[in-house]
Amino acid sequence: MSNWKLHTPNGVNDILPDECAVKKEIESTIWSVFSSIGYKEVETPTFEYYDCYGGVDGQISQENMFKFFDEQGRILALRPDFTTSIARMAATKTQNAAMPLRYLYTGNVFRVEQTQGARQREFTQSGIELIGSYSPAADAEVISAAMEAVMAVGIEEFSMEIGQIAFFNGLVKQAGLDEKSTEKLRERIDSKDSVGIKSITDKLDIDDSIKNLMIDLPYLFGGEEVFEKAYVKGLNETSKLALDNLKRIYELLCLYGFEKYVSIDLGMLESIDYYTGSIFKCYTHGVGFPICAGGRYDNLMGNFGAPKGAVGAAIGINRLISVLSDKEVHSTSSSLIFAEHNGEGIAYDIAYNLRVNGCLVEMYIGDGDYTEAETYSKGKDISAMIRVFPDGKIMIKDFAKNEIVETTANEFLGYYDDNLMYDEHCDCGCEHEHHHDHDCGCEH
Amino acid sequence: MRYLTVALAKGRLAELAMELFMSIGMDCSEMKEKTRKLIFTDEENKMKFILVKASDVPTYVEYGAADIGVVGKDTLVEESRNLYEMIDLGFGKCKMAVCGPKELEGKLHTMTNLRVASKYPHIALKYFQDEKGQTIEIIKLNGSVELAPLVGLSDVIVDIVETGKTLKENGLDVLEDVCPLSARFVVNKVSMKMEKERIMDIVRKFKEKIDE
Repeated sequence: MSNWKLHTPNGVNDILPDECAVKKEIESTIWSVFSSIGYKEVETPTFEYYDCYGGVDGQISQENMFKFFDEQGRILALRPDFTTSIARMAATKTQNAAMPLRYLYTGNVFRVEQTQGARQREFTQSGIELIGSYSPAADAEVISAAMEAVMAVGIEEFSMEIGQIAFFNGLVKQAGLDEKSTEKLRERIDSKDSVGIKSITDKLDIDDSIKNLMIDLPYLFGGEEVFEKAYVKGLNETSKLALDNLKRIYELLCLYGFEKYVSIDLGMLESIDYYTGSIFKCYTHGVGFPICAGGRYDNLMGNFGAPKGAVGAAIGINRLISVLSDKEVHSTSSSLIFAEHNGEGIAYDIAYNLRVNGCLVEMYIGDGDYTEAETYSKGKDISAMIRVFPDGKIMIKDFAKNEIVETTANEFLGYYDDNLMYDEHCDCGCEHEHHHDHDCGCEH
Repeated sequence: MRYLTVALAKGRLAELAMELFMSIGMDCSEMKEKTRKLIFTDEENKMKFILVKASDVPTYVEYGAADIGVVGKDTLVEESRNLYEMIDLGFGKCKMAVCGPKELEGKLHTMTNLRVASKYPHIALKYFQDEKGQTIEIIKLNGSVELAPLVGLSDVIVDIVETGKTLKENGLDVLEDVCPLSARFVVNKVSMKMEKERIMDIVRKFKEKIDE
């Protein structure tokens, strides 16, 4: 019999301190970047009614969601992404707010993925949603914010590819393709399968210029020259507007100084039921999947009863970690306090004061003596040990400098509360009841 | 310069693919020697070639462990991975077909509980369910699929047909064609973006060779 309690299920992971430190640092860096651009953090529930996520032609299909039931038999699902929930929240709770809304989020999402693929079923996303604007400036803001975030965490070499779903939609409308053939064509263009595209376009009765454009679509990627190739004669209004829009976004990003990172890919056609305009993905060396993705989803808000333009981006934190894993872990070492018997009260007070001042302080909780505590400290990231005696004497051992400083709690902290001192009476009969660092002549 | 890694499906496809790579000036002579090595390097062109099981090629490429792959269309459809399928290399041509005893010809759609044995359960399911709208029972086998109808394990099979000789010898016929197959040149989506020039250069040269 398998002992399941010792294992974690497929696709979920423990994150141990070293990696967790990197993760939190990445998250907080990204948070600061987004926040400085005016995005406000929000949280949405970890699970919602399935209808919320699955009601529209969602980005994530039914079989990729973890589902369960509430006590009335309604279907619930763990959030497969944040965008849908944030759109619902914005549509139902911010009717009177001034537009646009800028939201940022960080949290875990859950997806049922193939068990044998090395894919995660729970992973962390950090992202932004800009709701209430149809302007290409909104797209440019979100895309540039995503790039700022990627750079801020220390990724220097990356490529941001931008496409436009509406351009393709215009083409298929013009060609009069039905839903099924549209999906086939989309799939084949998205996988740059020229042979497959040709087998569909050969059957179409449309202008050769449009036909050739469809066949060329997988190769319409690169810099500004892509636009020249795409503006062919006979484009319909939808496609033309889409190109104008994409061109404007591209221009803005170049003006912002991102020219070397940004390129156009008109053949990028994923999630076309979800995205309505710009769509983008960010790639870097060392990870076979995009580290960041997003786009414009103008239909989603309408689906929740408040039609509005919206664009968003999500960064895959776990993927960033795998790219940055070679980087040095930035860990802070701590001090270890060892209390001799009856010195615990003073020891705790010293720890408290150091902690308030921003130090990392660990208390030795083992049963051993000072030597054992020192041995213990060798296996940990501990830079100094503080040995506390019941009479307030302390010995500070700095491992780096390899020196020992003797002092008292009073001096060390700059003050001392006498009440904390262990009340140890000796029978020497002198007036100094507690302290024994005086010269009353007794043996203590 | 980074190494570009190419995953090749072990066997005849790999040999044909190597010839194609050599014809455009890559050096993989090392591979021709009888050896058990699975990884070969062309230092001059900064290329690495790895030999993997055919059905694993799409996995290596999707995850970016290999930038490029050469693999049969059958494996691509069966694995349905998220990658770029750039060129039909034109070799390794054959087809995927539904095969069974001749008396079933033209009657498949009338059978309510059609049992289909195949090494390619996804392809079989996609064909019957999505294209023909017929619900079937899939029996996944790993080899000697032709045997299944003979011993009553299934009604028909979905398998690769090259010459049709094995089928004939086992008293089976091609009943319906599913799709034509050949070797494909596939590319990881990130590699395509990050190594655009080098990969497109190979694509261009391959296309020229194929057109010749």
